[in-house]
Amino acid sequence: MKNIFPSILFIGLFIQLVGCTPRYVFSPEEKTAAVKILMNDGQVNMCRDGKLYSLKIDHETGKALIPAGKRVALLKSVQYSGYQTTFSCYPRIGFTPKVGETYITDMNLIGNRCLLELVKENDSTDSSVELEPSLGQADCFRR
Amino acid sequence: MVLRLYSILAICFSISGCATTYGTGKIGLTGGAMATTATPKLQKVIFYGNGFTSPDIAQKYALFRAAEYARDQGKPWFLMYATLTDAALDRTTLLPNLGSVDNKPAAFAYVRLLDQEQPNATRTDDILLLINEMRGKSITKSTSDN
Repeated sequence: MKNIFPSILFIGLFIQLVGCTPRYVFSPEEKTAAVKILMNDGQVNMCRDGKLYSLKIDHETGKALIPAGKRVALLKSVQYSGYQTTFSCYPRIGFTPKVGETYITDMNLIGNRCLLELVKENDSTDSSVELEPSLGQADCFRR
Repeated sequence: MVLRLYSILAICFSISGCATTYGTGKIGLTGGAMATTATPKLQKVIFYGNGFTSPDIAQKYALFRAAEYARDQGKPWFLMYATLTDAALDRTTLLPNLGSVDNKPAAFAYVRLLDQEQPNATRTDDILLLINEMRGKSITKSTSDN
């Protein structure tokens, strides 16, 4: 019976290590774009080439670097538990980031539904944002 | 004994380490208002209500927050957008957008400040007067003084 605790320890550490989404590792010459995340908890994941990654967010700017030039998907996971109530949604969007561009993403509740949005920053427009033409389905996991 | 402690800690970390919660501390018992800079020209204002807040009150309080932000920036007019996409398309709204979880409303809008009146723009002082009426005290700083 004594030996069960080291096993539990290692199982716990194993789950901890594999349970988290890995960070995307940029190659030295890889081109990047930036995405500013407005969501309250600042947590959003990225899918590229069928693999899921977490984003490293600069907490001063609220921005995260993402690889440019190839289609990616942004995924948000929302869970809420209240008194005798649970709510969850998993909105996702796909787009092709361009080198050096900055995108803005936000998730809001509209009625009882989640809306994940993405626009491109453009200081020359009145609202300093514009539509992203490549925005579409998050088809990252379909190969 | 130490191993037992480590085991419990490891299990706790494994359960809580990757957990994601929605708006921790924002949709709670008390609710509240906040503002976030989306871009240099766009500010997101949001009001989280609690179970006792009606949806129209949440919208009104988000509107109040937008006006207070405009006042703080010395701007007599502001525009509101219901979504980022609407901001990109310059489709304005007169009331903040509304959502709810567990019967707790959340109202939000993306606010663009203006120096001059534009179609569908809201006059900052008009909203500040509403706040004034609600609070029953005078507004100490008005954009019309600027």
